[in-house]
Amino acid sequence: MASEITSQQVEDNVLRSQIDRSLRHPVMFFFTSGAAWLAVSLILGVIASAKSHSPGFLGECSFFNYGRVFQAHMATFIYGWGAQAAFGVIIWLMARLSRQESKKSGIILAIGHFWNFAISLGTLCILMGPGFILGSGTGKAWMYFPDWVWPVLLVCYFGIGIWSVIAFRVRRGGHVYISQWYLMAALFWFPWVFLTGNIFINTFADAGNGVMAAGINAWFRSAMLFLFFTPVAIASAYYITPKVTGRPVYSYKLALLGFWSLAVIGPWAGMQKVMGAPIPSFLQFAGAGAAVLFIIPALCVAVNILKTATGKTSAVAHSPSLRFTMAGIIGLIATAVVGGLLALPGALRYTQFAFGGTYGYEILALYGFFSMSMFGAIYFIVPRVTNREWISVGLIRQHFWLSLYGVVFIGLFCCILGAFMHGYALETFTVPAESAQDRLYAYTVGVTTGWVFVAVANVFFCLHLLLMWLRLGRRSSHPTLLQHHTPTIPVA
Amino acid sequence: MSSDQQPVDPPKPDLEDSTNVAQAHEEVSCTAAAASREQQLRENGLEPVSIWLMVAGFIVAIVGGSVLFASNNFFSYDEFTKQDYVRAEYDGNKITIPMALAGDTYMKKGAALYKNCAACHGADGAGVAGAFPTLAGSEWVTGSGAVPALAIIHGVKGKIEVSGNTYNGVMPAMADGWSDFDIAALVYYVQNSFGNTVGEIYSTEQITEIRAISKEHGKNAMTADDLKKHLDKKFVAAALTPETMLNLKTGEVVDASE
Repeated sequence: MASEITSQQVEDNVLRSQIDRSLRHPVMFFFTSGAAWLAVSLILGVIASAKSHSPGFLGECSFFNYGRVFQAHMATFIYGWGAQAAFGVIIWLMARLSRQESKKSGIILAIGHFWNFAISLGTLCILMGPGFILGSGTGKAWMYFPDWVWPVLLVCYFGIGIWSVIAFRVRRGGHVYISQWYLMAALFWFPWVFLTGNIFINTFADAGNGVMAAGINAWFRSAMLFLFFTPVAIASAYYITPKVTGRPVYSYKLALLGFWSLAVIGPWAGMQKVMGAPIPSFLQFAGAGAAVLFIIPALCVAVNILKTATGKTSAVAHSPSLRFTMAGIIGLIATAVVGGLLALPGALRYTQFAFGGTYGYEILALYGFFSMSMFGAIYFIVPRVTNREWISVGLIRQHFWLSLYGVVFIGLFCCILGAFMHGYALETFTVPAESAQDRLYAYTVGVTTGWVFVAVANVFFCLHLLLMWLRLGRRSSHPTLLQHHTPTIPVA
Repeated sequence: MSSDQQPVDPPKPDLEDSTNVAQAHEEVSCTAAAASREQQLRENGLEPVSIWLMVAGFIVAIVGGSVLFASNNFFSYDEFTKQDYVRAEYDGNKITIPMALAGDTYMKKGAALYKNCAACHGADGAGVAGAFPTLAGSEWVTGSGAVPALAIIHGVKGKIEVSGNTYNGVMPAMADGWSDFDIAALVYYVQNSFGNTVGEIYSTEQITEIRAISKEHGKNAMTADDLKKHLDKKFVAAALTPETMLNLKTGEVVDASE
């Protein structure tokens, strides 16, 4: 180990800090507002879940109707938190890996404000309900905002994403890192999925073909997950893990296999959700097959990342970035396996129409996999762009454990198991339908309880991030690590 | 801040373990501590894809393929839904409408409904002397079906002479919420039990005609005089033929050709 640093390393460090500084404001804006939307979304999620088992909760106030609150909960989760966290990671990671400072951070920041403004208005529309002057919730899953919102979001996306594509085009050094494949893919897949989904659903729905619209809506959700949120989270994992452990990625071939199998398999999945609907049956069977096959890219990525971190248990224990990333990778495996199980024809029969069959899977994927990976990236990126260290180990620790237990409890236990129990009861014709509701009750109460914990964790995470955004973080050259340890080199 | 910095600890993962950045480069460490302790991304590893991962991938591919090809006919637009995915129908895919001949259906249904009457008129229709008239051989029962039907719908009050005996009791209205099928079945039962053999199988259209009379009468109970007016009531609508099949549950006519 060299005890002195070379001029090359100094140059690298200076370049890194210049890139970080150039992107400080847009990245912090996306992360902070994203975390705020996440806190809002989870509080709405608690209300929606409480409404599902205690309809009298919060009284008769129409503002808090289940139908409105649930739509607002999912819409803010996906477009308020998910998309913005992804944007922050994309622009920072692409700039770092392309070794290019961002010269358009002012434009990105301004467009980020438009994005947030559109989402705020959209959420207001959903909560105000029918008759509101700007429109109301559409009831179309993952497209809950009134119809005028999605073109605004798409235009904003182009304004944010284009600069990362340009940064990639003018990258320094010929080598393209694995994360960059995934980021470029996500940058191109998002507009394709978003535009196709919205146009086709509205066209089919207007033409009176509601069944096909529902099928495309199922594809849209799956494609947003597999072709946008998944590649961004994987890109982050492929960056954080080697960076923190100091090791090369385990296998380049495995990374190639994982990327191309995702690209080939991902777009087919989704329509298995409408199995049995009167649309051409190959759409649904292709969807079911692809949902099972998604295990292959997930496995490639997970094995590659886990192998990279093998033996570095102390790093996983110490570094919040790595710990969240590892949890996210476990979440990826869980998402893939559960998604495959739910796509099996025998399981669809029970879970297709049951409470939690879809919601639980989405929570598992969006929180257990995507959000955990994003938290890992945020814990890594924020000290660099703000030049301050995280304030409190306790806050990071509570964020991790409450999130982990919460999402396992909600996603796997309450929703997936609850869906099978509910679906089984619904299929039993000989007993009154009421018994299905009785069977479900414990699980819906469980979801509320779990969301309360996750919401608490993320309200504090949001506060922590706000303090960092205000540059109130620790001024130190030592990172905030999760475990106290005794130095191995004695202090003189 | 930087001059009294501790030596770097190797186990700290985010820390460059080989260099003390602060001492080496004052400026960088002041402005970018986090960036300068980062490790370089190294060249990608070249481990081969393990055989176990390939095996796992093939297993997934086989499962996925079997799910994909579970459909017999991908592009048959005639057969849109596959049987396995339609919700299972109760009782092994066979929906059988429980049905019987009209007379049997009415007897069965009427016998069940007669439980409401048996407390006063007796299980054998004999009634109670002086209070509740007999139904066996009663000229009120064996005449037009309109009379027993109206008695059931409205109830009867005041003196009434049946088979030479005078009765004076009160019969409450019995048919609140009853369907036409219920009334037709009970009338048929009373007219064809206890030794009565009228045999007319009333259709729901005929009951509708009786309901029209009932509406005209109002809410009050009927007296013997009221009932007498309808003793020779002739129906416009036709009665059911004995070979008609009825749904045992709803009393609807089942088309045997289906």
